[in-house]
This record gives sequence, structure tokens and C-alpha cells, in this order.
Amino acid sequence: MLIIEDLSKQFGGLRAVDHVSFQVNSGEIVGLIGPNGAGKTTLFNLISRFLSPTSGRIEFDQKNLLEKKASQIVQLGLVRTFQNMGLFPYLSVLDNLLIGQHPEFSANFFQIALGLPEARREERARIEQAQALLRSLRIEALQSALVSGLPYGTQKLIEIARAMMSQPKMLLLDEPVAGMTSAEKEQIKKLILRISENKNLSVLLIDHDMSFVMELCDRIIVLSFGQVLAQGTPEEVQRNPAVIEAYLGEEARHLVETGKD
Amino acid sequence: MSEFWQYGQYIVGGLAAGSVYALMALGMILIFKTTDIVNFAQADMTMFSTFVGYAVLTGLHWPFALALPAAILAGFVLGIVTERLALRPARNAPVISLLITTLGVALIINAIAGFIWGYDTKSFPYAIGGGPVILGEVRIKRQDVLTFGVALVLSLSLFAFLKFSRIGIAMRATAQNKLAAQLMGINVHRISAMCWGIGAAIGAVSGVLIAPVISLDLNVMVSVMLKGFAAAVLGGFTSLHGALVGGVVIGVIESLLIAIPVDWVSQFRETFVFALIILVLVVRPHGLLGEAMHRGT
Amino acid sequence: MRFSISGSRWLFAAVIVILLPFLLPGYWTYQLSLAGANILAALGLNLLTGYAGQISLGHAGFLAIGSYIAALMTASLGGGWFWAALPLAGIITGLTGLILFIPALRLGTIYLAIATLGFGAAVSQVLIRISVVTNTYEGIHVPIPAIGSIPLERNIAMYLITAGLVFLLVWVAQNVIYSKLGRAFIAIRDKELAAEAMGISLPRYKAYAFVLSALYTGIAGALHAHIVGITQAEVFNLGTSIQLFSMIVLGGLATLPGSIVGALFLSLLPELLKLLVTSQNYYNAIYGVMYGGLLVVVIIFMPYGIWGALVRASVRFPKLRKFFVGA
Repeated sequence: MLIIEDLSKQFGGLRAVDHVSFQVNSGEIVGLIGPNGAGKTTLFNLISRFLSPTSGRIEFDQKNLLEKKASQIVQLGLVRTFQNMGLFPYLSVLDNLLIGQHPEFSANFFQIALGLPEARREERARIEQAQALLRSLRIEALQSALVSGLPYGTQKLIEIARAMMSQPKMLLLDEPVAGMTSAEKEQIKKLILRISENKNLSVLLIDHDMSFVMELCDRIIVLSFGQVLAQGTPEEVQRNPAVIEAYLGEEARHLVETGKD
Repeated sequence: MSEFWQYGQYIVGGLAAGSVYALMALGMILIFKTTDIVNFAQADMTMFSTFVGYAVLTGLHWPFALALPAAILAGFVLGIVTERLALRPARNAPVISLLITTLGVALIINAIAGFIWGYDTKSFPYAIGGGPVILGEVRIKRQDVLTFGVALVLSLSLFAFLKFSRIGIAMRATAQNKLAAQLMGINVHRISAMCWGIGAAIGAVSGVLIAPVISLDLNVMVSVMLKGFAAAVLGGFTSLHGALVGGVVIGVIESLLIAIPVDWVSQFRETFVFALIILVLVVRPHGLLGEAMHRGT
Repeated sequence: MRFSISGSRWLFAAVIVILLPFLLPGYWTYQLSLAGANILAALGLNLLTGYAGQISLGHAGFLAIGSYIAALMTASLGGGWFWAALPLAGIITGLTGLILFIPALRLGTIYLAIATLGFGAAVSQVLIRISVVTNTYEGIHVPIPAIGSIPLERNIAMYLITAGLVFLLVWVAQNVIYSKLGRAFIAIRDKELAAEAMGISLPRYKAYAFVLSALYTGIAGALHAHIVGITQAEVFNLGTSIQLFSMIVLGGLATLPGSIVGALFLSLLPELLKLLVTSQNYYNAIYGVMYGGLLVVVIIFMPYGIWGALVRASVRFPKLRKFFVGA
């Protein structure tokens, strides 16, 4: 589904992303981990087209993503969430979800401004769709609530719900469970598993909670100083000495190596 | 007069006006950096303070050396009172609403000034009379020399104050991070009030310096404020040094535009200056010396 | 909270509005017409600044353009052309909104504000220059709108026309706000990047915002010219832009009723003050202090505008809630 090939991004003298290559296949949940500053968010910004790479290729669903602008990727089926909340604080939950379907609205400016029936009909239909999604998540009661008044965990949940509205082929989740309680993280984990199975959705996520990532992901990619340090299943990655060294330092690696069975 | 010296004449003339714009800009940027509010009342505060100086000069017949401090004091008081009575009670309002507050303050000051001093234009006496200073073939009015000198001294003092004095450092801290400053024990309210006082006082100085040239009435300082604004923008709205550069650039360009013999150009001077600003902003949004803001990342 | 004007309320308001000119002296009809034009201009500005987050401090420029286009048409072709002049003025002004759209794409908030300031100043200067050249410095006299060749009674006709347009354009604004357009505007205002990530094309929607806003304001300008009977470039200056801006802030940013309330408030207030203050000597001073003082005080006690305060009050006093319709 997503192919990153030899991708690099340079800021002056700094190589934020350095010849990174990996793939995310249909229906896979892939975790992107690495120490702070490893280039994970830059990578996300490249994929969601807020930045252009210095070199390399990005292919999504067999299309060259580098030809697209940031506002065009939703229509291709790729949706991203934001680390520090991409919900619109002064819009209601319902309105936020409706924005999630923004490209689907076909009514044009005049139809909307003049209140023509096609526009009204479409709006009503989409509202019902959004309400259905809220119902399935059991938060229909919140639909009119202003997002800024909701608890943090609920906001993050809604951001994922919004991402689902456009029936994407792949989700880019930027720290979806940061700052949540274990119970909330569990809820999100189950949600991601459920939607990934039901819709054969691919997921690429960044997070710092190791147990969350290891339990949820089919595969893990470890980034360090802009380069791919290791790729593989959670078990493989956990045992990889280079990974241990990057996170815990050289002595830890030594300890693990000598203590290995 | 040869071409070179002619241009030199215009440039020098522009420097004096430019110093005034620079001072205006300094005052407004100081206020903006510490309290995040653009002081739309700057023109009226300046006007009022200048009128106070005028009253001292022509009413009491005291010398300029006393009129200037009187104006500065008036400005200082206006600034502090505005912060205390109009802005602090409204500190929970969104910034955009506070712009309206400064407009309201401007209207009030304007109305009171009109009541006290009337609506006709007054002619403001020059601080320094006498013949022009002559450098080569360029004649410089003594007032212009004074203006430039005062502006220079004032800005340097301000920079020194901000860099070395305790209050100055507290101001810079507040400007960078209000919360952190509060946590470190800085009385942010008092610092804000002081910034408003100083910002308005600097405006007062610029008003007194330019009043002899453009005369004094209720609305004459508005265009000076706008150019000060433009100077601030040109220099990058958050840079104090930029204000100086911006002011000088605008003053000189404005002066040079007078030199162009095409009739409609000089009439459109103000528009030209604005057009220049917009051009700069489109090409380099953070001005000459401001901090760049990046998208994404 | 969402304020949707339901059918019965439209009717109620319409009846009152139509009856007013027959109950009030002609002077107040005139003032109300002007207030109505201001409502349209305030709506235009609110759509751009309150909803889409693009600050404009030079909106008087659009008023001027709309005013001049309409005035020139009817002045040279006759009052019967009013019905064509009005929409034409609106459309052309709407298109000039695209001039500001270009800096809006590149500049941050403060800098855009400066650029719009420059725009307002530039339009004003250009028009003054034109008026000097065409010898219309005293202003262009605008004929009374006519049906065919029969002139109407200016006061009442303009009142009814303005009222009708206000109803129509408020309805249109409501349609726009509670649709993907309105949501896109707010998204752009609050988080441009997230808006893009949701598929909202910034250039396209900013263009919509500017054109729509300029259209409304242009129509307001055209109405203004025909209500007053004359149009002069000096009237459309920075002070006017700032007054418009005050209307939407005082009324309530990003609220439809806020634009109406704010415009009515700041249009009719001077007239009410005139009734209070009789002595001409002190009028200017007292008026200035009261007007300015009012701005300051309202912001202190109603930081989100008059309508914002009403909305907040309705949360605490449920009886007021019946004015609001849920999402």
C-alpha cells in the first residue's frame, strides 16, 4: 500500500531523514519508533506532504505521492492525525466529523449559498453518517459538544473517528495514545485492531509507549538519527542489539547480549 | 548643486523623519512584545503628550528642556493608565477584542484633547532655531540634527536599559514567556504597565520632535503612527533593532519619492510606502530582521 | 451554540421591519437604512475575519469600490439602472476581493492585517485621485432609484430595498456557515495544517472567503451611495474600516447575529447619543468619551462581544435558551 524508497530530507546540514526505505502492506499495522529527534515526525510530514523530500520516492496505492499536495492526499485514501491534536477546538464533535468527509461533499458554492435541495439533502445524509459512527463508538450524546470542552482522551478518540469518516485505505497516527491512561490506551488499541480487521485498513503509527506498540503492531520500524535501524516483528526488534543500544545505551546492549539464551 | 549632493540632501532630510518613525515603531514594538497587543492608541497618546509639551512651551513659556520631560511624563501616565484601567480588567478577552479596547482609548484621548485644546491646527515652535548646518553642499536643519541625535540617544538608552537593568531584563523575560516569568517571581502586571508607559513615552518624544515640521492638531499623528507601523513591519514586527532600520528606510524612501519629478508619484507617496511594505511582506514575510515562522514541522 | 433562524421568526422579524418606516419619522428610516447597509458590510467582514480568520483592516476599500461602481452606473445611465447596478457592483467588488487573496496565502496574521491596511489606503487614494481628475471631488450625485423612468421615494424605497437585501443575504450567509464552506472557513481559521490534512484546499477556500466578503461589502457600498444620494472617496477611510471591525468584535466574532447586533449598535448609537447630549459645545467631547468608553467597557464585561455574552448567559439562564437551536 505504502512504499517509501530511499527517502531523504535535509535541512541545511541536518539529515532529518536519511535514505529511509520500508513498506506498509494492505491490512498491516506498522509501528514507527525511535528516540526523540530520530526523524519520525519529519517522515510523517513528508508522507502527508507538508514537506518535500530532498530525494527518494513515496508511492501510495500505486500512485506517486510526491506529485500531490497536502490537501489532495485525503482523496487518495490516506489520512493523518496530529501529535498535538488536529481537531478543531471551536467546532462541535459532529462538525469535526463532517470535516472528515470534506472532499466527499459534492455540492458546489452556489448550491450551498442558495440553499438548494441537493445541497441540503447531502448535508443531512452526511450528518446521519457521522451520527452512525458516533453511535457505534457509543458517544452519540457528545455530538453537539464543543471539542475544546472534552477530556483529552475523548478528543483523541474522536480524532481517530474523524479520520475514519472518509473511509481511508490507510491511517497515519501520530502518537495516538500520548498522555492517556492505561484504560484509554486499551480502548484505542481495541479500536484500531477492530477497524483494521473490518476494513482491511493499513496503519502506520508513531508512539513512545513500547508495550502499546509491541502489542498492537504486526511489524515495527526503528528509526534513529534519520536512518532505519531495524525492521521486523516486535519480537525480532526487541532482541535487536542495535535497537537496545540506541534506546538504552551500550552497556544495556552488552548486558542483553551476554545474558541471551 | 551636483546630482550626488542633491540626493544626499534628500537622504539626510529623510533620516530625521525616519528617526521619528523609528521611535514610534520602537514604542509600539515594545508594547507588542511584552503584552501581545498592537497599540492603536499610540497616535492619540503621542498627540496628547505633544499637546502637553505645546502647552508648556506656549502657555507657560517654559523652555524646551522642560517641555520635553513634561510631554514624556504625560505619555508615560497615559500608557500606564491605559494598561491599568482598560487592558488589565479585560485580560481574559481574545487579543482581537483588545485591539478594539485600544481604539476606544484612542477615541477617549482624542475627545479630551479636542475639548482642552480645540480643533484648529497649532504651529509648534522649533526646539532649535538658527541657520542650517552645512556639510559639503548639504544643508541640514538644526532641528533635524537634534531629532536624529535624540532618537539615537533614546534608542541606545532603551537597548541598554533592556539589556542591563533589572527591570529591562524582567521585561525581556515577560516578552519571551509570560508564564515562566511569573513563576520566577516577576510581577508581570507591573512590567506590562511599565512597558505601556515607556512605549507611550517614546511616542511622546517622537511627537515633540516632529510637531514643528508637520504642525499639531488632533489627527496629525495618525499618519506618523502608520508609518511607524510600517517601519515596524519592515524591520520584522518583533525586532527592536529592525524598528530602527525600518524607520530609517521608510524615512529615506519617502524623502526620495519627493525627489521624483513625476507629479502623481509624490501624491501617492503614502500608497507607495504601503505598496513597498506589502511587497516586502510577500517576498520576505518576517521583514528584514524578524524571526521567520515556518510551516509544518 | 448554533443560532438558526427558523421560519416563524423570519416572518415575525419581517413584519416588524416592514412596519417600522410607517411608525417612525423619516430621519430614523434613513438611519435604519444606513444601519442595514452596515449590517451587510459587517456580515461580509465577519465571514472573512470571524469565520475564516483572515484579518482585514481595509474593508472600507470594498465599500468604496462598490459604492463608486453603482454610483457611476446610475449617475450616467439613470436611476432605472439601479437594479442592474447593484448586483453588478457586488459582483465586481467580489472579484476585486481576489486582490487581497494573494497576500493572504503567504502572510501571517499581523502581516496580513498590515497588507489590508495598505489596500484600504490605496483604494482611497486612487479614488480621490480619480475624483480630482474627473472633477467629481465634491462627490458623485447619485440619482434616486427608479422603476423604468418613474423615480421612487428615496427614503422609503431604499429602506425596503435594504431590508429585503439584509433578509436575503443573512439567509445566504446562514446557508454558507452551516455547510462544508463554513466548516472549512473555521478549520482554516483555527488550524490551517489540520485543515489541509482534511482535504481543504487553502487557496480555494480563502478565495471563496475573500470573494464572498467583498461581494457583501460591495453591495453594502452600493446601497450606501443610493441611500445617501452622494458618494465621496473621503468617506471610505481608515476610520470606516476600523468602525466595521469594531462592529463585528463588539457584536461577536464568528456569530451571525453578532454582526447584526454589532452593526445596529454602532450605527444607531451616535444618533441616540445625539438625543442625550444637547449642548453643541461639548457634544464632540462627550460623544467621543462615551463612544470610546463604551468600546472599552463592553470589551471588559463582554470579551466575546454582545452576542457572545448572550450565549454565555443562556447557559446559565435556561429561559434564554429558546432563542438557540442545537446543532
